[in-house]
Amino acid sequence: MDSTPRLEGEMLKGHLDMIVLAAVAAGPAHGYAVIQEIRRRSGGAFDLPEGTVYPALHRLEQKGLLGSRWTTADSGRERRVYALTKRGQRALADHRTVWQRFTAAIAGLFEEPAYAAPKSDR
Amino acid sequence: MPRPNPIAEYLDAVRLAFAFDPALAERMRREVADHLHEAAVAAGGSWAAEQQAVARFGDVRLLARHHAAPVLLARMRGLAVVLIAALALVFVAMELRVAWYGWMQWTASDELKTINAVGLPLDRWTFFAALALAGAGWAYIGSRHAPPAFDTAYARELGRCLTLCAAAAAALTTVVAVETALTTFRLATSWSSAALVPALTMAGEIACALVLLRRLRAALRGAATARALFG
Repeated sequence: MDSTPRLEGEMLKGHLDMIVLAAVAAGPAHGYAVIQEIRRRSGGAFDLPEGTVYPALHRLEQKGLLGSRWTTADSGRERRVYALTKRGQRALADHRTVWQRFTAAIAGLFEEPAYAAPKSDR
Repeated sequence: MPRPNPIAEYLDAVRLAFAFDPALAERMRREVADHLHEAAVAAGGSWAAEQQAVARFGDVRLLARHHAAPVLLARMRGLAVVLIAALALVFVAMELRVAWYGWMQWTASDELKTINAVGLPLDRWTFFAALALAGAGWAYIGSRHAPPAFDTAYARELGRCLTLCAAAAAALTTVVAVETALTTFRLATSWSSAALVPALTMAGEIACALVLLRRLRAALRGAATARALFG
């Protein structure tokens, strides 16, 4: 049995807000476009149930990190478009700094052997 | 028999699952409609593509449970703010009226003094009770955190918040009712143009109580619907 942890599990849920902020940073986008951007930029590794992005979008909007407005799509349908606010840009920059430090530290740990083999006296 | 429309059926399910907040339900219905139609068109626009778009969107009840937890807590916090604001405004209105009576040297008749002997202590102690209950409600609501999804433990916490707010609102409504009765009696026995200030302050108190009761009713309905859906 494969014991490799799956990316789309709890690991992903814990970082969903940061992922959504990063996806919206590319430019104003509606929910479907956000999901597509996440999938594209993660090389398909982050393949979430598409509905899960909406609680995150609404939560980030409530925190003032995203703004949103209704527009009309080319198809004529109503569309809610989300964009980063100034606070959102600052929050994303903070997330990026913390994440880069974290990944560098984890990479450092994984470069070393997990533990040194005990030396044999014989 | 016509084939069911997967997107239309899903949108109906969205409306039902988000019934705890009608405004959010409508917003979600419109957002999800756009999302599913776009996903279906991207996949070819066939009936199978619509079904696939719905399947990829995920369980609507789970989505609603994720939304319900923060939405209901935010509503409860809003109710607590309205409750505290209503208490403050009612207090100011009462003090203003008393000051006005003093300034106008508007003394109470013997009959009113007899009624005041019962009414004023009842008014005062009920106001203190409302204040204590509102303070407890404020502290309890302030210490709660929304879990990732609505569950039975969270439903119980919301129930406690609502009980405290409802008890405080009931006490404040009693205060306003007693004040209305006492003020009406005073104004009815000695009406003059000076009665305008007490009448206006009384109208302000009644408006505060009505706004509070309306917010309380919305919070009760939302929590009851969420409990019925997910509890």
